[in-house]
Amino acid sequence: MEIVKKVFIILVLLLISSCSSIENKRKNFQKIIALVSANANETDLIEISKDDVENINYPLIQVRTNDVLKHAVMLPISNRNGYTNFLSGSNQSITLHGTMITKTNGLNANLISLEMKLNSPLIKKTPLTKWPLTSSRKYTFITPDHRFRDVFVNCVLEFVKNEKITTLKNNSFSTSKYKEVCNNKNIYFENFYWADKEGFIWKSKQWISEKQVFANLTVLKL
Amino acid sequence: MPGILDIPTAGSFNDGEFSFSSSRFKANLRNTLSFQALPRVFGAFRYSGIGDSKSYYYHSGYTTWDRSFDLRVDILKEKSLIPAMTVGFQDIIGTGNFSAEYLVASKSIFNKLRATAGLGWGRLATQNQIVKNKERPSDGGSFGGLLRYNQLFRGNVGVFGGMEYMTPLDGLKAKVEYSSDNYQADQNFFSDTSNNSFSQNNKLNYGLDYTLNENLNVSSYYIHGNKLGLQVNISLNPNSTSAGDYLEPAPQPFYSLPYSEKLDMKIIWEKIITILKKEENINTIGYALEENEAILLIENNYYVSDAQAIGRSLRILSRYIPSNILNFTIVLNKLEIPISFISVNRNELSEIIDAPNAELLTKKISHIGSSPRQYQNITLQKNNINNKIDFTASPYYQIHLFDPDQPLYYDLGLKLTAASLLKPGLIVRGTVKEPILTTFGDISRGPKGSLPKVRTNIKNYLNETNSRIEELTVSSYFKLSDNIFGRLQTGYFEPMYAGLSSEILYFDSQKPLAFGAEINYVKPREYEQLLGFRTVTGMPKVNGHFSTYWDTGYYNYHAQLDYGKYLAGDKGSTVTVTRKFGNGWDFGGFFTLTDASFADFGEGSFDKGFFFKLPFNAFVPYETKYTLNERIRPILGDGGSKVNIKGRIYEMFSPQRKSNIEKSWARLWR
Repeated sequence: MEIVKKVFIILVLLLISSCSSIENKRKNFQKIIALVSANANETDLIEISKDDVENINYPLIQVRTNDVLKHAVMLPISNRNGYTNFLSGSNQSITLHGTMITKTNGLNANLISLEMKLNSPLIKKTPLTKWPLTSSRKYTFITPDHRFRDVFVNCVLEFVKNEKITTLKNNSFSTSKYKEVCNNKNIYFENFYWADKEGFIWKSKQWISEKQVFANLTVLKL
Repeated sequence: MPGILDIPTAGSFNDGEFSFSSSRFKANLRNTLSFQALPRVFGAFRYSGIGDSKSYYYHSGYTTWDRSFDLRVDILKEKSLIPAMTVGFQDIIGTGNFSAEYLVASKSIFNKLRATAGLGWGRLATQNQIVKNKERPSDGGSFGGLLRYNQLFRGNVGVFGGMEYMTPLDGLKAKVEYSSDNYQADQNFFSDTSNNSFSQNNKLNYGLDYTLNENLNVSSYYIHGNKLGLQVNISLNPNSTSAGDYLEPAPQPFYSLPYSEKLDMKIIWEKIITILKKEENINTIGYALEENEAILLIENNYYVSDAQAIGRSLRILSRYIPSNILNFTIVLNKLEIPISFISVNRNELSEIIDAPNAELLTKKISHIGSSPRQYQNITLQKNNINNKIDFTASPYYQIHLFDPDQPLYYDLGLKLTAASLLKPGLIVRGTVKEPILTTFGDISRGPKGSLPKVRTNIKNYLNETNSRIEELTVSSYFKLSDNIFGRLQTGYFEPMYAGLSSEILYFDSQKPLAFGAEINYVKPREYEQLLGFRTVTGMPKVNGHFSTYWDTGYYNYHAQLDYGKYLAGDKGSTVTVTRKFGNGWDFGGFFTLTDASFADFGEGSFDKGFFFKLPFNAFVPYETKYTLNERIRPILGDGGSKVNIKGRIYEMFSPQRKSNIEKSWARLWR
């Protein structure tokens, strides 16, 4: 029993000793607790109503992923040259170019760049009748050993059906649902977009990581 | 290593893969550490116990423990019509018990089957011989540990082959092989009456292999028609191991226009320093405002990537520095000594920072170089790390390996470290260890060889299981010019030696080569590792080296060549090769050849070994610079031994040099 106790003490010390200062140790403990809590509460998704967002004088988006980040509402913190940075209350961030996610932080995706044609309807609002069917793009990720990794894909867009979507509680409207199939020799994924008649995309499901992490992005308020 | 059960296959692991495997059948235990050093080059160190085992590891009971190195090189990579082909050298440095060479080809068929066939020499030609009665020269030297070049591809030739089948059950592979190893070499370690001998009923071996995840794999096998075996394989890869980033706060935005233009500059700098410290964990050493340039001197003790610390600092500057100041310069410091700088125009930066490929575009508009020896007109930030004593209490572990009586001795306990930076570059540091669980008191193997006993009397130090001072030093680091660094250090350097050490290094941040020289005056410490000294007969008090360091730029390999006089008075050279990954993982090997004869060195013939550094950052979802370091020598001798000094200049300051910053440039804007 004495040996078990000693081993336990050593393990606990090992855990907390990954940084030297007391402040960092405290932060690390908080992070571990946050991680445990996040896993325990992963099914508690909040439904947002129109009343909830009415008094917020900023555009709002909602991001859900099939990875660690289950649900986040984000506010824009900067807008430059068509790129908008959004930040969540729990410190995750994404950069949007049009509707496309071009960078992520804290989403376990490590996407740092997305290059595609600037006149794409996914970037620039375009009437549905003028949406091109094919496109190509380059995703860039950071690898675990801090290198750049480029992924080139070719994509084909196709109309699926007209579909009513609900972005806020009790707020449904009609959209056209499009499926985009993207692939290369090694990778295959499907993105989805829900756009109104003018071509504004209210909702999308986008591939953001080679680990097959997808972000469900919904515009809650313009 | 790549193989079916007992025979090799062609091909390699993923580049950078580091693995440990342990397999056992009857009285044969093999522990292997391996590293895919390059996409086509693989190396392994094997520690095998052969004999009448009573239990695993402890009270070993094995007749022999054998240390050996393997090397494999892929000649051909597999293509649609071409098989993979590999040439391998087994036990190329060692006693020769596993000595073999092979040429093997493997080909996948319909993605489910993989067939292998090969030719073997040495141990892999002890049965199924197609060339017989050829002579294989004896191995090199009576002390082991030498390169067996005179045996390569000599003697009889045997054939081997096998098949692997990927079953419909995910991760489960079935294997069968036809082996050309009759295990006669191992049979020699058994008495005639032993129940554990390696008699073979069948040359066919069968096995099942199950991959649980990308890091863990288990196999069971039936070998020689009469023995069951089990193997566990754990692997890690610096290129793919990551705990994720979901607990690391996103960085602040880069501001095209600062928050407020009306603030007093003193308040602005105070805000910058506070935010850097509190929100980004970055220490500010000092700052200056030139006509058109804001200069910020920082020390990053938090982010594994210095590029990331630079990026976060630039973002904070953009938030507060008035818009008429167009250029930002971040100076990376270590021990408050400026090492490298990066300068960039804020307006150019704000144009590209959100765009695709922002990191690469930033590189184009940035200037990175060696910092001057001193910055003029700098307002130094006081009460930062100056004159503060930083205490750390942490667990420690220490292992002592490869003693045939007991291959693993351990020492676990608590380590207390105190360090204080008295002024830039001047640091006092001490470490005390308090063992809690230890078997080091049982180590009994003593000195060997005929050189002065500068290392092989280590048993007397390890047997000390009371509180001990591991290190107590005063070190002064300084710059003589922009690119010339100096170090003076005195105190108790390591458990075995104390003294005075001085070093000088020419180290241009822009160039791949660095040159240094070190001279030490040392005294052996008493075994209790407190403050006293002892003497070692025949040991000179002065030793030192000239060193050349080369950042090759090839797969992150660094090479180091040392020439000089070692602790035992022998003269010669050490070659060290290290693969340094951008995320803090290091793998390397070294060897030392001196004028001491192999006979004087004793078993192992000359000093050699390998080392690795595993950063904890890869296993936790937040930043930490904590690392696990291990240096393994198959056989410790007195020849080619240097005094272990923590914080040699290159080791201390190379992380902040340009090439290292650029290695993790992808993290600039994280």
